[in-house]
Amino acid sequence: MIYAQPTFLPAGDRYVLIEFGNEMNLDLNFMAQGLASAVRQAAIPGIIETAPCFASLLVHYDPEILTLSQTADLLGGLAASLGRSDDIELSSRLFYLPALYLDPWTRECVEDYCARIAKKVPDPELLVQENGLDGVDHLVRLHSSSEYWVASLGFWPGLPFLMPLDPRARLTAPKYNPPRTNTPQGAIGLGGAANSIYPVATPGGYQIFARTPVPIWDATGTRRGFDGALCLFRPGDRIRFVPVTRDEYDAVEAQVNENRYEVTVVEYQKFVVRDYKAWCEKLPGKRA
Amino acid sequence: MIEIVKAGLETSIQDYPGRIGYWNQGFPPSGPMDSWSFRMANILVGNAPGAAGLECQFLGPTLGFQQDTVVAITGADMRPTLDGIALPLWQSVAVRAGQVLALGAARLGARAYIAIAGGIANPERLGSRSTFHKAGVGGIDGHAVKAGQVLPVFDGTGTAGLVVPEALRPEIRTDRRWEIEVCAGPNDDWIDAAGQERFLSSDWKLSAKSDRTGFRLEGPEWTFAEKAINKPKEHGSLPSNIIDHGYPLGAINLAGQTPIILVNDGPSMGGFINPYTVPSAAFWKLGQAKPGEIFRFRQVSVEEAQDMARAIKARCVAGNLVTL
Amino acid sequence: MATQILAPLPGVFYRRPTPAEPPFKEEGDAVAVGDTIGLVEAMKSFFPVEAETAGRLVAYRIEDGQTVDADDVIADIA
Repeated sequence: MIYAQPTFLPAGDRYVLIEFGNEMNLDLNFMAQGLASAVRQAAIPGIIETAPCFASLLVHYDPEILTLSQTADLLGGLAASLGRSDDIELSSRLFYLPALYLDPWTRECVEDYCARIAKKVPDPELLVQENGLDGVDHLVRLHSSSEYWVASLGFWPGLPFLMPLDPRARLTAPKYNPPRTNTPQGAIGLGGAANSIYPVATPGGYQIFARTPVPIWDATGTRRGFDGALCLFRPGDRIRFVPVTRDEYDAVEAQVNENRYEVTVVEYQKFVVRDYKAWCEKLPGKRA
Repeated sequence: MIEIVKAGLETSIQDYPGRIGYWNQGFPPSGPMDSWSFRMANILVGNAPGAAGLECQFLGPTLGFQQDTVVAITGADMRPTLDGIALPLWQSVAVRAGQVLALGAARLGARAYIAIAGGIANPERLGSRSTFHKAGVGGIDGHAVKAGQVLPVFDGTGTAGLVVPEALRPEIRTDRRWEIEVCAGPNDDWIDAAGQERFLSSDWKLSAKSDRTGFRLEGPEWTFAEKAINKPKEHGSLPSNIIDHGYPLGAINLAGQTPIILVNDGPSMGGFINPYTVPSAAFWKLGQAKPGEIFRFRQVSVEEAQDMARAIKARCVAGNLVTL
Repeated sequence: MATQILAPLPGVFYRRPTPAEPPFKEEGDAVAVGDTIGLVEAMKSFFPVEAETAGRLVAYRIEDGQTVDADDVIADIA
């Protein structure tokens, strides 16, 4: 449910967690990001930073400047002034990421897991079964048909938690149990209702079925397209996966290795929640 | 310039308060775990309290000095020596070019801090010189220091012979037992009354499977409130699962039945509840505790925790130092 | 000459490489310089405890899984 009023939960001497509801839906994330954006614009002395997640916003404040109750009052006031989520508008960059679906690296990783850790249905086939799809080609078409919303980043710096904006592309999948001990860098996966891209080779629990050659993480801060940042995405960005062939994948990878790859990104757009909802209403063949 | 002769155990460059402002991209602040001792080391050598210095963990490094300078060592007792002669802690000391500073294994406490007049001058990453070892960010090449590396140092103006009065130092426990302050929340209402009482009245043993990302505790089973058991399925299957949310630094994160205190290099978000949070003023105790030592938690209000942090900050100023 | 093997750092002492394997040494075994006689775990890592003199491992002074401080006596060598 969506709470009538956001709940303020104290979290130690310098954080407060604001919950907007207790389910996974985009509306709650829009509210969290809307408040984060309002806090940024208001530039309130004593509010150090915020971190949105699916249904909540963590706020880091400076107790030398603001008490807990002052912080809650200021944020409560801002949240009230935002009104309904329909009125929220967020700056949103759109990234196009080449993706090789059903790639050999994630397949090999899954085979290695089956051989060493536990036998399981291969990840793409499992997604087909779990979601009643017509086969792996259908999975690829459906998965690449939607824009994905960066709801939050975490677990590893720069690791995005993505929700498909097209309701018809909503897929679900169980997580690995036990988790994988390794995942190829750039693997694209899905666990629960969230999608992600692995910034580096790490353990993981999402079902993996594609890979992008474009780095989304760069500890040196020198990579083209990062503008000095160490990770590519921010909350509120959107991503579209562009299916490519193996040859195209290799060509992009070669450009990345020579640091001459230009990330395709559209920077001038605003995401308007009201317009998004109106579009969702019109869609034929919505998946429940 | 200072040469790393021996690296010790994951000795790293840290500054205070660390890498602040990137939690929404998943970056932890890093920084020294015992920021009380760290700040004291800096003011002893004439630095700003947050200047970059070294955090030594369990087993200290050996450093070769290529310049005359002033250093101070605080925190854990790693029995430091300069050219083989024992050095006092909590005191600024003159070092000449060519001398070798060696730290051994921690006898009292777990983490020692070395400040050098001027502060270490490694490049900033996202506004901080702190090392986030796990992800390879900051420090010299993203990681803990390695033998053979040379650390650049800013020009400084330290004075030898300054001392932190004993009353202003953190009191590192010798009896292996620690009382750690906690604030209730954000998710204390997911634990039933018996579970809350049990958390505050039980001994919790610090596991050796603890590092700068998290401190794992061993203790009794947790019991849960109705809210943790009957909940929308998006939260996940375990009572301690919740829809992924942001983690405050210091969160006592309940992964299934195992509480893990999320510390300086910890994750920014995840799908487990945080019934309690260790406030910043108690972090020095975490930094100085060793595996096998016992924690007891004492609940304080948010205001009390903020007052404690203020009191530590007020201690860490140059005016409080005395001359030898 | 009797010597002692001391803990190199604080942590948890183990006599076996993993719980499923036999101990590094039994009491009474011969040890050579550099032989590993146990591990100390700290910060999610394991550090070998090595003999610095050759001889016979007379007795372990620390139980498997027990907490040690730096320089605690782990074993006697004669």
